[in-house]
Amino acid sequence: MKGTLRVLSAEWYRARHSRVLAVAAFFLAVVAALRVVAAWLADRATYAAAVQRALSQSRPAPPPPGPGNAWSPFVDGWLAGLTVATLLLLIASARSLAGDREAGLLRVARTRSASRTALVLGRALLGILLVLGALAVTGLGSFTAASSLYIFGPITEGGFTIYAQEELRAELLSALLATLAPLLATWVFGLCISSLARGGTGAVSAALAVYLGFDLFKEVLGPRQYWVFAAFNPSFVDKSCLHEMSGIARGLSDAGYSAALYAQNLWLPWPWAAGMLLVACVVMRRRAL
Amino acid sequence: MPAALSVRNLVKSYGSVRAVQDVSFEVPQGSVCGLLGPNGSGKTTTLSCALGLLPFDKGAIEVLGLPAHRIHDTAGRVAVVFDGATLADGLTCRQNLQYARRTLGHAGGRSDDEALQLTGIAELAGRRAGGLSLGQRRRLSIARALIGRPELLVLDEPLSGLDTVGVRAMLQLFTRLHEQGLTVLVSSHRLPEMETILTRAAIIMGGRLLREASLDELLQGQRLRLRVRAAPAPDAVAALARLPGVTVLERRPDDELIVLPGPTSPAAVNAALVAAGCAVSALVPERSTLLSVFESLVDEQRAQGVEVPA
Repeated sequence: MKGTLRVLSAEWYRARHSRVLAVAAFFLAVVAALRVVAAWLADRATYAAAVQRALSQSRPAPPPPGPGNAWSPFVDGWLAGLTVATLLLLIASARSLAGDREAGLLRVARTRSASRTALVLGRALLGILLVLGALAVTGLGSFTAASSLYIFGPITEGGFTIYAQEELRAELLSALLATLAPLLATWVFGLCISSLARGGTGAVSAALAVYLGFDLFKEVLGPRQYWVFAAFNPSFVDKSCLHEMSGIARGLSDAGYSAALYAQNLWLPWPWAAGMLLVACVVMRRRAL
Repeated sequence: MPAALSVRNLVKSYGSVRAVQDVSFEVPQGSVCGLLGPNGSGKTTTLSCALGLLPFDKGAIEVLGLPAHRIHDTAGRVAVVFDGATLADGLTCRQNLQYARRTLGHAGGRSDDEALQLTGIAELAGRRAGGLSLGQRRRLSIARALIGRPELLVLDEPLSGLDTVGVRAMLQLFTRLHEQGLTVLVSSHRLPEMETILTRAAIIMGGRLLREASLDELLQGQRLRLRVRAAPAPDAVAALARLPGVTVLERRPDDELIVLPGPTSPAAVNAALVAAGCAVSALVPERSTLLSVFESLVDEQRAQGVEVPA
């Protein structure tokens, strides 16, 4: 256990002091914020088109809309940031073991004080910090942009409140909780591929190919796709709980996971992660470093 | 005193290729031991097995009294500098040391500044490792190995890629480290340079251990070799063949003969050649060096019919 914590401490130190992490964090925050800005621009464009249409028909221009509710663009921004974050996390984890093995850093750590298992487990624990960091950075970027351009308030329709702010916060918290486990499983998936690959580039290519391949073709599996942890991740073909939260923030009454699917989202990624971690440990115990 | 590193009957194969065959040697504490041999002779494979980085087929290896697969339990008492500087390129020199120290798990022993000063790169502490020259990277790798309290320092091909000045500086550094009480195991194919710092050597070729002894023993036990130029060469070869115990090891394309005189003195060899009517233009007894020891071991292998790469 001490060895694992030492590896975690060393890897966290390296991550904190590398420019890549700072650039990636900034990039993710910008992606999340840009998604909000894009939604705001789309709203402005819709209003401008309405004004132009009215003027061309010699009618008075409609009054400018209010700032609008921030919840929907906020969740969409967070979702966009997390979609990119998922891929970056996958790239980082796939590069991790294989790249360090290629660079000889695993040999150095191994001969000084880290067991082979600790080399894997320490990096797996680093994933928790990076996933939480990704959630925080994308959330912050999206929140900053949304609160600058919109106003947070309850979801209403025809004067009736569909979702109060407290309900929206609770739904968001549930959705984030549901996003956490599959993201961690994705990190471990990257480590697993990394332990099997010969080099960093090959590991990253293989991990992306498998992950994006599943994302593109998961619809073919129908409801069975939800037996794979990756189905619950924010992605380009999004089926995640956070995506459903985006529907809720728009006031859609049929949005949201069923209780059974939500429960599956919460527990299923853990056995996946445990299994893949075991494979990574076994492989690393046998590999030449 | 137990050996710092003990390798007994090590066998390692890659598929059907046997890379290391029954290799045994010891690195006594306080020694500077060389694992010497040409490229591809099995040095790095032997070291990788000894350091718990590569599973092996047979044999027993102990590092500071622990089996090789538990090398991490030595808790930093073993430090290794691998061929090809293994650094985190995105970090500065000082950060590389801090990174290694965190893996090591304790802050005691030699400080970062001491290690950087000892290796002569104190002024580069703030530079990113990715921007360093090969020699500087090698020094940083050594500095990283020196932090904490290493007792056994293992260096794999530490001189490769260095210029003459770099080689000299590196050899001086190894000597200084040895004087500070470190046991050093160095793997290299640079025999002349290694001869200046080693106290002990194991010579390995084709995955086989040819000799293991202290440097003094190796050089004293070396049989004399003669480089002979005599014309006509065929007559010279015939004359030498008639002498008792004399072996002509090689006739080179320029008609230079490499001769093992055995009990016959160089003067007697010269006299025999002159008596046979040969014009002797050169007869050079070779000084006993690590390189000549190695060459004679290669010759012995060839004489025994073992295939030796050119």
